[in-house]
Amino acid sequence: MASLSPWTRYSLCRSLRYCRSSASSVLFSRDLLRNQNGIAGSGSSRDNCTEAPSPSSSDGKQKASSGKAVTISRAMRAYMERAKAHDDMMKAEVADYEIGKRHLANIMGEDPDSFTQDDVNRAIEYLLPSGLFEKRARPMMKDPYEIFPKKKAAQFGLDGRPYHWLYFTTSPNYYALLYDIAWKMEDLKAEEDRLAEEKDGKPDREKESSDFTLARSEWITHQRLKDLLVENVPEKEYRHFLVLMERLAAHPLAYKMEEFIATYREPIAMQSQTLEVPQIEVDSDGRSFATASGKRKKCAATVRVFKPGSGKVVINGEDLQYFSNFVYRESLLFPLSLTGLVGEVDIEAEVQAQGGPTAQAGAIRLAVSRAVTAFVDESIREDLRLAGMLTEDPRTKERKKPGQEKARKKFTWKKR
Amino acid sequence: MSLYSRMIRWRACQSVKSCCSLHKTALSRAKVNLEQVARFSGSKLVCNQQEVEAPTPMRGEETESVADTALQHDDYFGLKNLVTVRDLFEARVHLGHNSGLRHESMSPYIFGERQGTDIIDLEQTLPLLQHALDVCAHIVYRGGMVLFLSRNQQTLPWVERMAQEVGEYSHCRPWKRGIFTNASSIFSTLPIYPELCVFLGTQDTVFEMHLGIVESSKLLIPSIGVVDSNCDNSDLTYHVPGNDDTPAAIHLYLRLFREAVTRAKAKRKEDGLSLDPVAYDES
Repeated sequence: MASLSPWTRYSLCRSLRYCRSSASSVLFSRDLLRNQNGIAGSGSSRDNCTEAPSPSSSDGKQKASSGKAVTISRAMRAYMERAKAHDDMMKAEVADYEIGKRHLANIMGEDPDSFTQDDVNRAIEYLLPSGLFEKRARPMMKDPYEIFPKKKAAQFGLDGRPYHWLYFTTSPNYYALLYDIAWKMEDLKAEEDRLAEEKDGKPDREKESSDFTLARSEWITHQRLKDLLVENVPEKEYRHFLVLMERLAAHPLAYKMEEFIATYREPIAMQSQTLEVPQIEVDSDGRSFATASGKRKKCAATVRVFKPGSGKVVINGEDLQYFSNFVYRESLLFPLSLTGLVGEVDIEAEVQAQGGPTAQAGAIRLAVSRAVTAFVDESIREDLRLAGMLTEDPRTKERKKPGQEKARKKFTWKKR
Repeated sequence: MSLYSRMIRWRACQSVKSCCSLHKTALSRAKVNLEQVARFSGSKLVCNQQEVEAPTPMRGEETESVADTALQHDDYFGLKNLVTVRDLFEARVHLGHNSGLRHESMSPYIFGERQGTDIIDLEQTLPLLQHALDVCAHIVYRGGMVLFLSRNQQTLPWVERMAQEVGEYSHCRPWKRGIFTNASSIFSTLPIYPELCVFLGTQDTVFEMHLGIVESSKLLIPSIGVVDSNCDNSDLTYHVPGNDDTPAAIHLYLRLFREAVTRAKAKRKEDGLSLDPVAYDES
């Protein structure tokens, strides 16, 4: 909405009060979308990098500190004009956004001065409900600095000389990285020659003591490399980078470049290490318990497991007969039988009534498994993980398709 | 010599002349008028083994004339004594390619053939090399940008390092079409071109010429190129016949160009042409 015209904003404010029918909201979200598409761009930080000095005079001459007139190159002058135009545009957008925010606060009947971005998001979601699947396609109103693409700073100085010595390659940062790798490799080769001359074929003692290994990490991803270099790196160039780094890392003296190599490696996280074990708490009766929650399909459950117990199970205030089918009763008790805690713990579960029994039982089972990890040792925890008890099931209901009876099922159709 | 090449020489000549605020008579003088130079009395510098009164840093129009006076000098940066035929020979600059691969435009620079290999005439190479170094130094001296290009993978890091260390530019990677001819859309700014392209090898692959040569000649950017016996020299402004494959030869060229650029920059600072604010302090 930051970029809506005043009239559109006015009509939007007026109509929203009266029309809550889906048709009008679709119309408005389309309007918003159109505006959104016009200014589409990934979210970016606030600094739009206009480090270049503002043009002080139109004739392209600027007074240096010493009083000597310095000629500004034509390219720099053009850049400075464009940067100024962009800044002006952004200022107008920000002013528009602030007014839009106040309007929105008034519509929602809240205080415009203390209306935050979270309130804006909530208001937009309420006023313009959207059924669009893609979240980014839904109506939004954000700070223009988050919406407009970040502007690139000038790559050259006032005299028109580029800052980077590889400017003409069009990817200076990427090729500077390749240059670094090449020189590391050359240094290693020189070092190898020196050692061979010195030690005359004796084994390198330093190497034995070092623990340089690539086993616990992997090369940074393509996206990470792009972010690191702040440049578009094509897939082919990324693969070239990997080849060079592999070659460097395979060198017998690569451990000397460990620091350099490590900046382009990311540690591989082991799942069992990332597992969070819930804290054991003590209630007013002096019984220790652990709390955990789990999800399955659309259903969420919160479970408390009490350690000295007698095998009592309470689900939403009822006993195990909450589930009429034996399969579900068995499934939610399975983590206990796996850990050998049947009859030794009590379970208290709160589960949302939405969703079917499968979803509810699954959610409780996941929550129970997570809570039980607090009372068992490392090896049993690993058993639970290997049995798949600690992994959330990501599957959800597949949406129904138009022109079909269900998600996959087709209408009956006979050619003749 | 091709039409392009002649146009570039003409243009380089014109730009030098247009920069000049001296009288035309001074321009036409072949030798530098030492007395005129001595008028700007100041620090002493050694040029061509002669002691000359150097022009002092002046502001405004006078600095222009300092640069032009330098242009009248035979060897303002003392580059003539930097290299000898013996140095070239020892760096294996004379070794060409197989005679069957000879490019006809290189025939005048071939000394002869030995065991099926062309031998480049170093007597001709030396003055051309010295001239090329002088051109490079003068362009740097006047504040121009120099771009060093090469597609030789073996010596690539050295070329890039040299360019970085002397504060100039380098492009030793695959040439993206339009870096010069379509610069405004590739860099999304007004186009920026180097004032001189130095090709340390004129081949892109063993079969193809470097695309940068064509683009720089289309845009009338002066170019210096080391041309081997199998290469076409017709699109280059200043060609230097010589071996472009052997690392020893490339390292020699790099050393020479490094020296030329460094000397030119030092001279530039000394003569007060640099726009460095420190050099122009009022006090």
